[in-house]
Amino acid sequence: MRTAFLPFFLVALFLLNACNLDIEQPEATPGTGNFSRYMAVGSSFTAGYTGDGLTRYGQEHSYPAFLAQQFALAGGGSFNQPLLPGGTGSGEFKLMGLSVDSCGNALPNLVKQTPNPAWETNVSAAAPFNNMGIPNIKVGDVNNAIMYLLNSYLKRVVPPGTTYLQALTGAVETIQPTYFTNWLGITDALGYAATGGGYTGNTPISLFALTDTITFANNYAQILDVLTAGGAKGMVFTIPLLTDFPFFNTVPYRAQGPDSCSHVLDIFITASNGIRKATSNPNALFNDLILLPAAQEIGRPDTLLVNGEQVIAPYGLSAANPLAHDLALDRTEAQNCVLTIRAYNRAIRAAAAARNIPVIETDEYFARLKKGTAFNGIPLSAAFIEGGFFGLDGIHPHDRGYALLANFFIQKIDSIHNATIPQLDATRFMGVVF
Amino acid sequence: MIRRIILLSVLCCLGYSVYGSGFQISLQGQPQIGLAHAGTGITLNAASLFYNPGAMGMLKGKQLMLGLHPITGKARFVQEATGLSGQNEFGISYPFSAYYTQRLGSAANPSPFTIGIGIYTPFGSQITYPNDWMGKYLVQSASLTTVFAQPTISYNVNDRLGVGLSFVVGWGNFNIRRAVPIFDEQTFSNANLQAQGMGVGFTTGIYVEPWDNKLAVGVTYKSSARVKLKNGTADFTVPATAEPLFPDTNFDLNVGLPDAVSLATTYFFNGNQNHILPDKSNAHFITAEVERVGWIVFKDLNFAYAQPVAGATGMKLIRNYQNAYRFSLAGQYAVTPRFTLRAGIYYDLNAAPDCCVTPEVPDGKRVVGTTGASFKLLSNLLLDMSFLYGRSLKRSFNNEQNNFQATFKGYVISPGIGIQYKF
Repeated sequence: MRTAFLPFFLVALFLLNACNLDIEQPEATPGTGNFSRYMAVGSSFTAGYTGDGLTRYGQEHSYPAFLAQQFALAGGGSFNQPLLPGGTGSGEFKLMGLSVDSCGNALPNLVKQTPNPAWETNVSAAAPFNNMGIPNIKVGDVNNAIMYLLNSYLKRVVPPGTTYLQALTGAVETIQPTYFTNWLGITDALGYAATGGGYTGNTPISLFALTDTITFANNYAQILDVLTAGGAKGMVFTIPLLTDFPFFNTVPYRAQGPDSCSHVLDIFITASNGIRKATSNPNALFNDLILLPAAQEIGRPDTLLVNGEQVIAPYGLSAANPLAHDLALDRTEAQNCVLTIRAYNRAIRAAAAARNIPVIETDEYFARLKKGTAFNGIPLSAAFIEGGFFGLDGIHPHDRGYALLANFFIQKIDSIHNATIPQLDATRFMGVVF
Repeated sequence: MIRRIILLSVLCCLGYSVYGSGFQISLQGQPQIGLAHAGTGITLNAASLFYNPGAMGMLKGKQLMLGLHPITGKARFVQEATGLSGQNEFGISYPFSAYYTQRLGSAANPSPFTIGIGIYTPFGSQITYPNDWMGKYLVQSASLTTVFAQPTISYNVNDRLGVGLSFVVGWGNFNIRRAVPIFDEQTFSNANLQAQGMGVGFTTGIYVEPWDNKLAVGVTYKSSARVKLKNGTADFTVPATAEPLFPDTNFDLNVGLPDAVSLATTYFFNGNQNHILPDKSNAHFITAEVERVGWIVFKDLNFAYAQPVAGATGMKLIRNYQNAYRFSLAGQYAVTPRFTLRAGIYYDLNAAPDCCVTPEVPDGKRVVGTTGASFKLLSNLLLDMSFLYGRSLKRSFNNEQNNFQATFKGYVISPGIGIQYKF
């Protein structure tokens, strides 16, 4: 090359490279995992339940649907769900407004939407389903044929008279999953916790009782045997500490009084040892928890008949008109619930260890949430609505929350299987719709 | 004082991304830009008012210097975990600078004092990312307009020693727009924060030639400052249902700005020759400079809202900056009495630690190359040109407060043009 061209050559080289900002992006790889046929087992969290209801949108934004969508980038196949017709599904809460009082307390106005009557139509003809997440199904009930009649969510998915375990066995035989996740067990504790210890009003309901731990352990082992019969790999999830969810922590144990912002009124609850004031001690392991639905009820001006005279008695603010049993989980019940969750988790770990299945401690994520975390600039916490993770029932995540859970599970899968499955852009999901 | 506004920008949580503190480019005086900003150890022209008020004392007569420094840059982010990527949109901003200096006394009997004033827009740019980009909850766009005025006096002890002092007053107006994760059925919400404020500081410098016309040493100190932004406005565009929680409100912000010390030395190859001007503008030389910026004062940006927003009385953005250093090496060659060429390179360390990098200020280690030339059009009129190109080296970070993880690279390009008139 003649040296006269050198400057031009250098300038050309500079122009070619000056604006090049390529950064190599990692490729999606399955590592040692095989995600070609994925099956999800679980209860409401697995179905995509949120806002105390199930909709087609919720199903399409369930964590198993998200996982399947990301698996598809690394060799994953189709993922069949027992989809509802569109619309309101079984009826979710909708946020109609927020009222903020002069002390800055915000009270959301939540209205349950009218269900789409077609939601109960049986879809078992479309089986097998990769997503076997059935709201309200307990580990304790997987062999219970009566559940077909008692659980509308099970009834619409399985053939008449089938138990959950039978339906699951059929699905596993047809799909022959290569990978599974199992998050059963939540309802066994949640049914009790969310009903103030197993009550409707002040009436005990046996359906809401805690599953005994021996039945839990036996049934859980049966489920894992069904899932691994064909040699599938997978992972199981523990039951999170439900009492840390906003359903149990949003309503304070004392109510705002009328005199000033620092004026508080005692709340009276129907506890397992009778009617008494709710108490809370920050140093105690277990405290009385006023449940989220009480927020819209406390202070309601009820008319009582006292000594033959009609008296106005604000609901929950006197021993004469206490909150019903199903609106508070007293400290004894809370302790009962938490100790039982720990026992269930021991059973889950033992059953998984016996079969060499990795156990994902979901409290790792929920503890992070409780402390406060973020994703790409969205602040996240375990607070109701403003926390950015939980949906309007204060128990189940919304679409963004489920996407964040899916990301947590993908991190675990990546590390267990040495895979590089991309996480979801959780920021694009709506969360609570205002 | 540049620092001051850099701050202003950063401080305002917005910034200059590609051009600002992140890239920390002081676009002041075309010849100095061509010399990789190494202006502490040499006089050259009226822009020495900015670089070293002590060196300004070597100027003769009256000098007017005007410059325009268009600048554009790009920062590209890739997030490994999600495979998302994003980069800012194309935009050019037009910082300018103007300096006037005057030697007191008469030409025959000059006073040892030189006075001057500089007016410049050390920042005045904007960075805009696509509205729906992956970092939208940190920043969608940030803009900054600044004007600084710097009156200066310099005392020439003798032909080999000058000291100077400047008072610096800066005014800045900033605006940041970011997404808020409150959705209606279509999309997310927005926050728009705007504020203006003033800061004052001083700059002082010494210029000395221990070896006359052969070797020069300069030291400049630019003071720290506190900038108080009062009654900024925060506007939230949220769905009607959420409006009770997001009142449009005012905010105050109080920011500590770093000081800076620079130390430089210059060697003149054709010294001891009678035709070398006292300001050395027609000399062959090389100069080396190191600057330390005291970013350690920049811990956080604490917005104090006049009314609670979503239950919070403020917003605290964690920055935790550390002191940063710049190393410059540059030289000038006087090809003919009418034509000089310059080139330089500098290496700049990042001020933002891995925990606290943000897309407003994609801060990283930088390598910047510069070149420039001056043409004497008339006996008293010079045309100056410069070209600057810098790379922000590949950097992976995780902004912990926002859990925003990314790898980024960036570049910045600035061609500049200016004139000097001496009378």
